[in-house]
Amino acid sequence: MSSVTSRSHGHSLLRDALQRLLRNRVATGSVVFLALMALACFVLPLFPCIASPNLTDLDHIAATSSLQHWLGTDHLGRDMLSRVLYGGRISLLVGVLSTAVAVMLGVVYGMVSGYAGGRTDAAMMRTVDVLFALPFIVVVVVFSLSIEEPCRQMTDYVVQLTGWSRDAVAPLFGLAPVFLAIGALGWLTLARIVRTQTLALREQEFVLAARSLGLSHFSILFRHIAPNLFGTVIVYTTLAVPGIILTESTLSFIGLGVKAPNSSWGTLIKEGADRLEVAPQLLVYPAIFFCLTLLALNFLGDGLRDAFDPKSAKD
Amino acid sequence: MSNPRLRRHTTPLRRIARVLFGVLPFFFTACGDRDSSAVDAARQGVLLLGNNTEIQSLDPHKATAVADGKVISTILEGLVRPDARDSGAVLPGMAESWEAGTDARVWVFHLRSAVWSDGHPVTSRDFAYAYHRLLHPKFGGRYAEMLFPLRGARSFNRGESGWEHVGVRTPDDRTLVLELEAPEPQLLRRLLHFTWFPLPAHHVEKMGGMLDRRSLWSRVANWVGNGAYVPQEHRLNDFMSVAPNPRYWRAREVRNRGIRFLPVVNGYTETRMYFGGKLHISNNVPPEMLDYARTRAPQEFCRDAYYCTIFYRLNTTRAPLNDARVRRALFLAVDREALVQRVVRGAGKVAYGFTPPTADYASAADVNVQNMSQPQRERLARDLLAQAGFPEGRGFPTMQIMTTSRDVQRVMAESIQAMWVRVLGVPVEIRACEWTAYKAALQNGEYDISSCSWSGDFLDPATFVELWQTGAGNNCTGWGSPVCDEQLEAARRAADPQRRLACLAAAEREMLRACPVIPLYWSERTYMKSPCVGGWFPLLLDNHPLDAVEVKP
Repeated sequence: MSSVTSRSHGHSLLRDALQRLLRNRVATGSVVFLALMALACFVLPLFPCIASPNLTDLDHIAATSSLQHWLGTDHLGRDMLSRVLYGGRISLLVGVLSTAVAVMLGVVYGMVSGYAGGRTDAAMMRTVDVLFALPFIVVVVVFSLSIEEPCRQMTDYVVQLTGWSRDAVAPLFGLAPVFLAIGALGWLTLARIVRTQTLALREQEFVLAARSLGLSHFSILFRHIAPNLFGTVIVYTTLAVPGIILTESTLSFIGLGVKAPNSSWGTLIKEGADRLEVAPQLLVYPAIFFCLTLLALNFLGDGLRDAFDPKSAKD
Repeated sequence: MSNPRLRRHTTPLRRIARVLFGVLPFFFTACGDRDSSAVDAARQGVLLLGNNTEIQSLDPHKATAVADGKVISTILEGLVRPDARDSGAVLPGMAESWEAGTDARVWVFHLRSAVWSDGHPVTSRDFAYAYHRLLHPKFGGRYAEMLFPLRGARSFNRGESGWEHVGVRTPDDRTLVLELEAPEPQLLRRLLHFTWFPLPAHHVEKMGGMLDRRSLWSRVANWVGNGAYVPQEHRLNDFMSVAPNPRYWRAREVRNRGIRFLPVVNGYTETRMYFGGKLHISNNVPPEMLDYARTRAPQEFCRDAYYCTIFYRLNTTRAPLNDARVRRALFLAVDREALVQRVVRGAGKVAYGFTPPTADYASAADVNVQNMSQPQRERLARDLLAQAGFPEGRGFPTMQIMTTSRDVQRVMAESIQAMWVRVLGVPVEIRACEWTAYKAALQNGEYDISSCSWSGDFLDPATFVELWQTGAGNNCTGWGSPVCDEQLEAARRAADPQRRLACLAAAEREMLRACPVIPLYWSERTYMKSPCVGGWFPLLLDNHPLDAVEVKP
């Protein structure tokens, strides 16, 4: 698949793709933007100039931008910038963690299914079909509610064990039901994609060679097939993250995601939408952050797809 | 796009623009000038009424929510019916006339010749049957205590004596005699509540009998009633509609052609629906929208006094809330001034007592606490919490505030949570539940702290104080005290109205001392009313006789 020039210079597929990606200005811009956004969400709140996101000030409600509150305050006088950044932390974290869960499950499942073939393959794929038929949101809701209590106990345990403050631990473990649930159901598409790829790969000569050398199935799968799936998987991942952030927003919107007073972009947008007539800035600020991040992720995904597979190109 | 050259040149930005322009026209057509549903309905004479929550049951013995009560009061009628202009007055309903004995202990009601919607005559036995059912110990009616003024009702409800000892007699089909535990000059006001309504005995018997809690008699399709309306259609989370009952005895005086109750929990959505022409009368304008609604439609914005308390119930069966010092600390740490001024935006009055004050009943709040400054109260709260073994909140387990998904309650919970964290350092979480789940958790005692409101069922402090009787159906806190019960009992037996009120005040004071609840404020009702609505006047109990409401295009 690699071009003549790259072969003569001994370039790897990955490096080749990277070069193509860097030539795509929109995608490179997206990478920079995402890096800045992640930096802002995870590092900026550590500086004292950003107020605590849950500190209410009932004397300054829904204030507009000022030197003290750059993006104004919300309906309980909490600093909006801080809430948007902390909300971004949660949204991005859920996006990344759920995707990680989904990718791990999906890749292994799809690879095994495709490599095994025959009846095993058929059975595994029918299982995926059955899971596909279940209404996603309903299952996520039921699943996340059923693992809520164990996660709560886990939080208490971690707090006792480590002596960390509850405020630091609770948001992450409080979110565990959400990202576990989304991840546990989000791998289906990826499993199918990976299976098809594996079906093609296992007929290739290098797999035959590996087999004739007497390598175990395990090492064939993980040393020889898995690296060749890399491109597909990474493209899928970038494209899946926005969808998952959206799902988290949906869950928070119907009251199942983060618990008040913590916020995610989804809850902030919900609160803002309620107060649209009274204080439109409460909707506008989180919506801008949210939309830009989703757009950047989508552009990056598009760019990666083009970079890994030059033939699919620009439609 | 069939042109391949065009395809090739599409950049991501162009793609976004294409999507946007594809979608925008839909937004604009949605705002087109088609007649709104409110105008349509007004032309048909149908009233569109915001009704807060989804209805749980039309069976008056299973319903406890305000929303259910509003619907039930249109499809069943009691001995008397409410006046459109005065919550304290009553008009003849099923009873044509009545006499009270000299000391208001025995009441004789003479029924008119009215029929159920299936043509059967309404008899005094239908009333007796309904009271028998609600009070029956095996039925487990949550609102049974509403009938406790009847002689022997309480001991029958507890299973200590038989139905024949309860003071309800039916000398003939058109006469109903109610004998009370104690003189009750205000009995007629109590009778306005749906727990005193009759049931179609012949129909309930046919559909499974008196004690069948799962009986389907109250389903829309099976309904038999004697009210001004009959249920027409119930679509879950969409609407409940009622149509005039042609067999109602005042059918000609019903001023509209039907009512549609819309369960819209979110006040922002509801207010927006009102301005979008989807409602004639809304249920509630949330505090943050008050200014907006007032400026946008000053003539349509209504702000009425309301007989209602907003408060938190504490589950006294769970540690550490079983410690009165902890409960009191939580009570003191709430800055009510700030809450009412900033969060509720002035649509209410700061409450340190539970019962809203009326002309004849001052609140039983602790004057000392009321006169303290907030920093003093907070200091006291910290001391109490330290005495209870949690200095500065150390070691305090995480408590959950359970609220309905109602926006006002959520915002209030967040601000109170912040106050408790700041003053006491106790960890608090918020759990917002959908209404039915909330109600179930409350009644089963599966909560730590719950955000509640109670609106008076009749114009008398007893409707608030009697909640806190040990084991009362709507107590739900697990708290009870013999002193409080004694005073309530004394109030029921007191012949002198002044003495009765004093007993109620003593009971309330006892309750406030133990603090199973945290009173927050006495609310007002803020809502929108379309200019096409007539015959609607401010009522303290919000028990508007909806058949008197006119809708004109």
